[in-house]
Amino acid sequence: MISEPIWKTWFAKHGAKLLMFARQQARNPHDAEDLVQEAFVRIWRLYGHTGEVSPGLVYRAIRRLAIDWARSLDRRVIREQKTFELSPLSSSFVYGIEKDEQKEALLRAVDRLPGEQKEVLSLKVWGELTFDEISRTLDLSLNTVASRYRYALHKLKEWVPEELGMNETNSLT
Amino acid sequence: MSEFRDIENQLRSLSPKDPPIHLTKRIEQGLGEAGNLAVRCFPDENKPPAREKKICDFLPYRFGLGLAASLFFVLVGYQLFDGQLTINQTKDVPNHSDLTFSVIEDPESPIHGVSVAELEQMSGMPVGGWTPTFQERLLDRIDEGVVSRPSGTPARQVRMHYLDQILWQHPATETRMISTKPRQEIILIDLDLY
Repeated sequence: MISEPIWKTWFAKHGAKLLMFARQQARNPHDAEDLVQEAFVRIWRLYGHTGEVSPGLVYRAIRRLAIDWARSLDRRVIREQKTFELSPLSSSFVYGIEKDEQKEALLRAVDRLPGEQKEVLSLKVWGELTFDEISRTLDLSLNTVASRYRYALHKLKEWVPEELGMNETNSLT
Repeated sequence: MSEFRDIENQLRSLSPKDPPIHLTKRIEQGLGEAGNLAVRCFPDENKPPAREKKICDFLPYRFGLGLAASLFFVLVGYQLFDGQLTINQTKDVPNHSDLTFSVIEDPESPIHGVSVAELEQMSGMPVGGWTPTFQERLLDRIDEGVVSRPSGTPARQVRMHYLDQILWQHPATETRMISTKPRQEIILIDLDLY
């Protein structure tokens, strides 16, 4: 018999989504990795012996740790690291070898969304959390979460054709 | 939200990048023992099936062989202490000839007064050439709840039940013996309060 720790399978399934969420919460990619590590280890130590850990718990731990860490940083460090905040959400996704204009337009549109809508969108679409879990993760009301998600989708639906059109214009000129 | 189904499907088709390998390694180090509490067991596909059959065929003889092996080890131990066997000592090994062992002879023992050669002849089992293979099997894992360390910090106490198995193999005679011993381990996992 071969035995493998369950956390490895769990992390292989959820790690990419957790890291993407952490990138939205952290000031730089290194902090994002530290956040994921710290949050995951804390939660797995508490509940990992059961073999079943709800991803929502780890998302919430990431969020709370990010807030704690942000409070502990002084203003100078925050200013120095400000540039990293500009790294777009689209950089967290896998790019295929083939050029897919539709996907590129979608990612550009996602980048244009306000931060609070991107948070909800990533937890709902890629984190596969329910609105209830998202509201508890982000400490927001259920209505706020649902409306942010709806606004985000509405804007994307409007912006993607726009982005595609702009791309065509750029290629013609 | 059927009006957004198309855009939702397009979003779901995007895959976030996998976390780097070094992050997984760091988590493994950070988890320590806590990472090995919940494990998934699955059969080793590289293991040849013939081996299982041989062990099953061997089962009827196991009791007799086990008894013979036990007798053998008791006798070897007895003779070692009695000074009848000589051990080659290297310079690095300290001489313990000044140590005295008290050996109580049991005249009622079935191997009392039987030499190794005689035992080998009687049991039909070879004395040398045995190779042991150790295997540890996790039987059960019991979460005993949160306890306080003497320092006052909380820790989760987990009791692990193992079965240690030694498979003795003698290739020349195609003989095997299995001995098992239960073992318990208690692990304390430090908990962070936040």
